Amino acid sequence: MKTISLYQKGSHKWLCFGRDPDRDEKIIDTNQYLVMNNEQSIILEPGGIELFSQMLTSVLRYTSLDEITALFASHQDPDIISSLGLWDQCLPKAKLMSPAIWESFLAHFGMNNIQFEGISDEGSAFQLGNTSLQFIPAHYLQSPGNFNVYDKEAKILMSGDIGAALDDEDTPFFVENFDAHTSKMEFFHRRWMSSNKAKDDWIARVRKLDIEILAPQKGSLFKGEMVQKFLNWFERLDVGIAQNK
Amino acid sequence: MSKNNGAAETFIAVAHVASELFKAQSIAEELSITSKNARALAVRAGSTAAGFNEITRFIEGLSKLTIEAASTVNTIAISQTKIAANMFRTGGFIERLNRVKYEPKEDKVDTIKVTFERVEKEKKQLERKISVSLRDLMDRLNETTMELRATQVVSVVSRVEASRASEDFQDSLNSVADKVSSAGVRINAHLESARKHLSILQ
Repeated sequence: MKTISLYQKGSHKWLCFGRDPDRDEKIIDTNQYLVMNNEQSIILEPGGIELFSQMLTSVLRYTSLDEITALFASHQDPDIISSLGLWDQCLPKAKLMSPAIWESFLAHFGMNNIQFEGISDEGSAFQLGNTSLQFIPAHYLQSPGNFNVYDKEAKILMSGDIGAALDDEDTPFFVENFDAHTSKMEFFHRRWMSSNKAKDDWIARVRKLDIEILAPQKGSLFKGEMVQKFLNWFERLDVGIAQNK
Repeated sequence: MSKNNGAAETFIAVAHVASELFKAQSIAEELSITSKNARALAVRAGSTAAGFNEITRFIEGLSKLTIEAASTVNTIAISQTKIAANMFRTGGFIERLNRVKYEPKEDKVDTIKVTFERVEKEKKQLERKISVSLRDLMDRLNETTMELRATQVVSVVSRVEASRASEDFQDSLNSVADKVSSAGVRINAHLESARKHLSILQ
């Protein structure tokens, strides 16, 4: 599994893990994120069971199990959090931050030790070491209960499935040619994102944020001017089930 | 502790081993740069530092060896964490299967029993596989530690060679010796830590 650093200032770091060459080809490639600050770490979108081994190996290069105080799952899908039952064995004191509506669904993955902390619909703040992360509502994009994670200091928005693309493992971590990249996103966004209204609400919300990197859970990340290009493209895109009949 | 927790302990310990070797690899990469700088220095120092040139080749060899060992251990470790994670899942399945209450029909094949036997067999195979693999991993760590003992010898010889070089280059050559010595100590500390994580499982 490859690793790139997205941000580093003192003990405050963002790492992205992905493009796993050892991944079974039947499994989609996903991005996992580790945010660290002052001896505390949170794993965003820990991933599926099948890549748990590579993820555990990768995160231990940068942090220790004692310092991983929380996991975050934007929603309930297996590629996001089906590894929960395995993390549950190594992080007995950690919390799982996830939309409150998914608690009893997520427990199906195995959650005997990890404590569930549901995020209410309007979102909330999360203290990590000396910094604060914001859980930004992104409901119906694509899951009915869904959050992004925004870091004001690092100017990074972890956008979950928004901006996701199905890339090859040798594709660069960052989008370089936006127009070419849209072909990898269009079907997914039209088919999975269920509501134009929810999409417009989300765009209005995130346009108020200062974002340097928009980091989806699948595919290349958007940096600098690519962030605005993505928002403009998404704004124009008609999404929802009516478009896929 | 249940056997299932044992599987969890295995994948945690082995992931720790891989991360220690990753850190050792980073130091070995620094050592490789040191070796290249030392070679350039030896060339500039001329005939008085001719012996140093040979030493730099040896340092490069040690660095390469550590990087290769780290890569091998990493491959073994990732494969082991996968086996251990499978063991954990199989163990969990067996525990749940044990809780199934049913009455097998006399005239029908007891499919639960067949499943139970198959999974038990798979679990034993996984246990054997991981046991062999753990021994391999420990052997590889021990070999690398033995080979890295040479770093301290290299450091001493480097100092001797530095003392023979012209005065203008002595400080720089001694600094190379310090870096080799320090890299050896730090790499060994990571190997030792990796061994400790493995010894928990034995």
